[in-house]
Amino acid sequence: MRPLRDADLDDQQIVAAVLAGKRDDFRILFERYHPSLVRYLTAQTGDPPLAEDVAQDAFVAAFQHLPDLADGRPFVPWLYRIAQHRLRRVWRRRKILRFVSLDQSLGQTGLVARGGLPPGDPAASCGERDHIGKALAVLSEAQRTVLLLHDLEGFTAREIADIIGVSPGTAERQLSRARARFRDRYDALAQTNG
Amino acid sequence: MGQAFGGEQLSDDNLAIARDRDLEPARRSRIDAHLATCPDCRRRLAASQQPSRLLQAQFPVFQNPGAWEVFAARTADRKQRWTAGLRLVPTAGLIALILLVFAGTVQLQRTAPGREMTRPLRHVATTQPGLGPLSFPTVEPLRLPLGLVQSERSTPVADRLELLYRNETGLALLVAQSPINGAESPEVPKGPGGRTRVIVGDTSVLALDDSRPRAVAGLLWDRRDLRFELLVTEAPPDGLPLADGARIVEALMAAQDAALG
Repeated sequence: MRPLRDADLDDQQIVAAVLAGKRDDFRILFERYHPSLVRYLTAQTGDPPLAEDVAQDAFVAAFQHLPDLADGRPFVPWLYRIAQHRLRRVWRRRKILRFVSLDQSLGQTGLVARGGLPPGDPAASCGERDHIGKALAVLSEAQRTVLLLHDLEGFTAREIADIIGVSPGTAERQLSRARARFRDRYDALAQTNG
Repeated sequence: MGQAFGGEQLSDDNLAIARDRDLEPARRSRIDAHLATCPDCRRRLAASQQPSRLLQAQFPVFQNPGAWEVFAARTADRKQRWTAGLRLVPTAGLIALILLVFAGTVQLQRTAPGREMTRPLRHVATTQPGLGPLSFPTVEPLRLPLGLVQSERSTPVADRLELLYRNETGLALLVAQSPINGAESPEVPKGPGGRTRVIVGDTSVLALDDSRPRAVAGLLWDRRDLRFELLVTEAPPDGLPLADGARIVEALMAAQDAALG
């Protein structure tokens, strides 16, 4: 069978094609969503190699379990749900071994400095990168997850609720609290350091 | 910040999702109608988008040209197995039927009158399959104090059970259990703070101090041939207070007594 090449095909059409036997068409989904998934995981972990590993694992699991989407569920929130689950397992293992809280480990790895724009990029100064990293680090894991899924990846509160397994109302509340805490912390750092 | 909706100002929750594309039409109409007439909420909405602007600028998307090749290499053998698996469906079905009959026979033998159940019935929840049945009696309450509900269950190794509990405040706890069996005690993990011994009920519990005041990062105790490790994996801003941790330990001890007699 000829592989699909039409980038305008929607995700469900591609999933259907893969499930019908055109397995190479999974590449379209991979190339569409791998970069943004790595970005999200980098923002979560501050560790680009780890983000790449978790993203690869998530795509492999998604490919293996693609028949689960035969009911027409959307691909992307499902993929992020898998990635979130994998990431949580990695964190849990690391915490058991090192017994260091996430906030501390984020602080130690210098979250954004390693995962963000290259040095000298005019889009964000070093100070700003540092502020964003510190502002993210004061959030709980749940708040950080909701904030990044919504404000970085563009998921809606309903989609986030599906990804992290809470009610839409809970996702909305977590999002508004996360935004408020992030802004408060970021603004305080920006004022302190000019 | 205003909390009312339909009155003077939009609530923070409504502002947060005001631009979600899948908002219910009625809610969107109400929000849009309010924004059209309220300059203050329009300013608040613009301000609430600040994290989005900052994060988008901070974390751009990079293409990794070699990523697909890595993925393709990792899934190449899976693809073959997937295809081969389709050809083997009839054989696999027959094997599954034999195993089912065998498992049913074993289960009947285990639950026959006069045979003691070696461990309490367990909750089968949203779990990872893990390594299957454990060889030691476990304690698996579905709920714990503070509104904690069991959300995941896994058996990463044959002699360790891990249960994850969460509540609505963002607290998540991992409760691990493993048999003592006279084996060498595992090394106690080092916490970011010091360690404190506390007595809970009839048991001495080692509390690992969190960096936050009066909060604990974990609790460890041995009781009735089981080692328990309670680890805080996610916490609200103030962490898990020691008093709340002790309540959870008490609840686990009560569940252990109820399950094991």
